[in-house]
Amino acid sequence: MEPNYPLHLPDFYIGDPAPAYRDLRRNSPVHWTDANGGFWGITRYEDVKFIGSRPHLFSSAKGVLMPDGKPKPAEPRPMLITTDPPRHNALRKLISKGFTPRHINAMEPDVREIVRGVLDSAKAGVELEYAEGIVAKVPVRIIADLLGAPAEDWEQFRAWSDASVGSADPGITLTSQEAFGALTTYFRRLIELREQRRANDLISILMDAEVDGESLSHDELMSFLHLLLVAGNETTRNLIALGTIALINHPEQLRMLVEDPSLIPSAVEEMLRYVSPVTHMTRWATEDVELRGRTIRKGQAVVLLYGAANRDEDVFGDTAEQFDITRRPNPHLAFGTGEHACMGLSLARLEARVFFEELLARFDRVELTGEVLRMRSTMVPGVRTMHVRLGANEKAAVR
Amino acid sequence: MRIVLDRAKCTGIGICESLAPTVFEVDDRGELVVLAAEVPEGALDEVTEAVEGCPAMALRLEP
Repeated sequence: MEPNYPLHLPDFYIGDPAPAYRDLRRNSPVHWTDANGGFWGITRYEDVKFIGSRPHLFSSAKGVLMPDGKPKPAEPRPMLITTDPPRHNALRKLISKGFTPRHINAMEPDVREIVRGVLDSAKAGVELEYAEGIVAKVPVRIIADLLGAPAEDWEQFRAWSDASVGSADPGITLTSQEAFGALTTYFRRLIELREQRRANDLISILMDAEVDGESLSHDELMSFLHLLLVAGNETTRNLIALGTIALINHPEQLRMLVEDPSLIPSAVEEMLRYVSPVTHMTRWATEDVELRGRTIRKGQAVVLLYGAANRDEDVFGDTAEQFDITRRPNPHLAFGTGEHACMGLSLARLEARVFFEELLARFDRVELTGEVLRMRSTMVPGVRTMHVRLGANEKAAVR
Repeated sequence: MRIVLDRAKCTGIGICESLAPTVFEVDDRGELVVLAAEVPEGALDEVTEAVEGCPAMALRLEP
């Protein structure tokens, strides 16, 4: 019998989707779901890679979120993430030059200072809220700083960013449209300031950028800014928060990491694989395509389930379902694949590495003291709040 | 082994540079520069990892 899982609901991703993913990889790797107008769920590593690297057959132009059953605007805003080649490549290079390994490595001292500032507020031995109160502050400050937003606006930024992606979460009072509007107004003000005087920030770079001899349109500029803020914020927060939970659930791995911090980069890769903070991206077939005996019809949505691909036994072997911070090689697809692969991956890696270096130098024990509240989202079902108690790392303190 | 770059596919993200910095560098215009036409002595592992790790599949090795 065809397996049946609610792939269209946030609760599926908030729970433990691993058993369902295993079943789907084995028994229905190209899996049809009727809900929300219907879509295909792709769970095998090889297939996710195949589809992600064929933008002519599988377009991003109709949006990358899985179908939610709501009518789509006739003409969606132009966004990098929903642009197909050849224009995609030209647009992307404008921003990616700010995200190359060299540029990102140069940011390490800033990132470390921001992380230290945030961790200074964390005390050992008392219960504290970790996701919202500590982790979330790091990526939002870094990305807002990168965009050129002044420090006093950073917290407001985070509220808008949360609301504009987590609209299914009843804990957020602002609707995603309201948050989107507030951000747009704010960005317009930043642009006006930069029109008078350019600064050394991403907004200024984008305002001077040209594609085929033409500047970006106002809409393009706006959507770049929205994309960067949202993409740089939730995702890293969830990687760090869910990665911390993985360490809490695997105390022997946490111990190993505390004793040998040189394992942190490889632990971050394993967190990316094991957690897969972004559950999926969607593509749309531009013609009929046969895949594993199923026919994907022109116009149908194809949902690439990265978390499922990242536990594919064919690639990660017998230990695919285990959390192993020493795993190597670790060719996970947590950043996606193909020309839309995450542009901020070097920054995400840097933030996570520095965060865990600083965290574990101060605290060598982390325990959960209450329930973990998740975001009700199908795409980035991260941690809303989690209460923990941290234990001081006595050895490091005398260092 | 020769390193072949498909410039039309490259998005300048620089994963190759992070894996094999002696061979790949993304310049200030966001263009990838391949610093060695042939895989340098002793660098085959890291260059292979960079080629396989390219999300845009813009790199390949030819005999």
